[in-house]
Amino acid sequence: MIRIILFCVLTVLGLAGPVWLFVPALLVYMFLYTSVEVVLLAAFIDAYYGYGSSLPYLYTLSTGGVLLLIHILRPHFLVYNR
Amino acid sequence: MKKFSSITRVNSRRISQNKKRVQIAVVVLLCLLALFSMPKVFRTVASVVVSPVVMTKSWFAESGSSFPQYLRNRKELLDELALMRTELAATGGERHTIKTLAQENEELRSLLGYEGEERILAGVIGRPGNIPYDSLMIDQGVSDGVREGAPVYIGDGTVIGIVKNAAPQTALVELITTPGFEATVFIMGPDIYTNAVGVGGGQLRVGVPQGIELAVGDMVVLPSITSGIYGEVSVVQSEPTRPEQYGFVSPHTPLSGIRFVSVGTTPMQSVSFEEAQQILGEIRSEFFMVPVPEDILIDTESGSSTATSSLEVSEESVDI
Repeated sequence: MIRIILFCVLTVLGLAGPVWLFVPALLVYMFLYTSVEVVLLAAFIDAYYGYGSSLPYLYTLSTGGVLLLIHILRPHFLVYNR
Repeated sequence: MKKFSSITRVNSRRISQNKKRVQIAVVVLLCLLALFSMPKVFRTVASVVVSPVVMTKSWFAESGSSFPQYLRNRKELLDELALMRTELAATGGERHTIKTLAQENEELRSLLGYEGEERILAGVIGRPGNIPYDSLMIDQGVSDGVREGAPVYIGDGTVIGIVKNAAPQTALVELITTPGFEATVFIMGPDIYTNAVGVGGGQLRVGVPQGIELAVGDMVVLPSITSGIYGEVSVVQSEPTRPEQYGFVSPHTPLSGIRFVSVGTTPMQSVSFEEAQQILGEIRSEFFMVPVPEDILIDTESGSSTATSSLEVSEESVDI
């Protein structure tokens, strides 16, 4: 439930909120859940805002890359919780 | 057995992690494929998600409806209020700076604008309370022309002390309010001459018999060493059972507020009684007479000329 609420907030921030708030929120969400729905969100933003841009689908690619990176690094961060 | 289960657990974790990474990569590729192959479809679907959010945002930001306007106006008013407060604080600070600089300018002008003798401007670096005895320490010394016995002024002509010790870079000024220092004073109000004694802390004490009306606010002049009003009686100590009463005189400028003084280069000279009377007369005319234009001033002299002319007119009318 919390995950759904957080994702909705992230969607609103991504579509209408300031970038300086959206990016840190996105990073925190990716670190907490490491889930693929953020790639879908990035794809929607690219589809709506990035149409006709010289660098198409930049956000999808970068979100996927960051997500993979966080997934690889997450166990190394969480070792301190054990 | 334990080792086998732990290895199996580690292996299964590694497999699931790899699965997850593959899953992420596949989703990214599928999204990119969809974006490349069906951009319009994707955009239409995206607009279903994006449009409500963007529309709501623009409704709050630009709509003329009462609720968004109330929020916008309130925010704008609060922003404007904060800006005004900042500007006011800055203006207040600037005004204070200007006022301080103007006061300092005036003080320096009065110290250095005196015509008649050369004076040395000195800053006060020690005051009674901070240094022992009722003394002032100034930042000019022998190397700057300060000599022992030279008078020290505040303002144009108010002597507050005498240089008692001059070092190469600094000098010590003995104030006239030093305990034991005696001077002749004239008190306006009861209009009497009496002796004043320094009691320290920037105060002079005058002692007069009971029966003389000594009141707080009576101005005090030291005709022997000042060319103006030294200060006024700030406290009166009077007990009916005692034959004398005392008044404590404070200078107009408190010692804690003195930042600059001027030091004379010629020694002070003694004053005769006639000269003291002359000084008093000058002080009275300087401080209590205002040069009012003749056509505005109404005086007994102007009234008598009118009565004479009216008498002449009435005499003429009788003759006729």
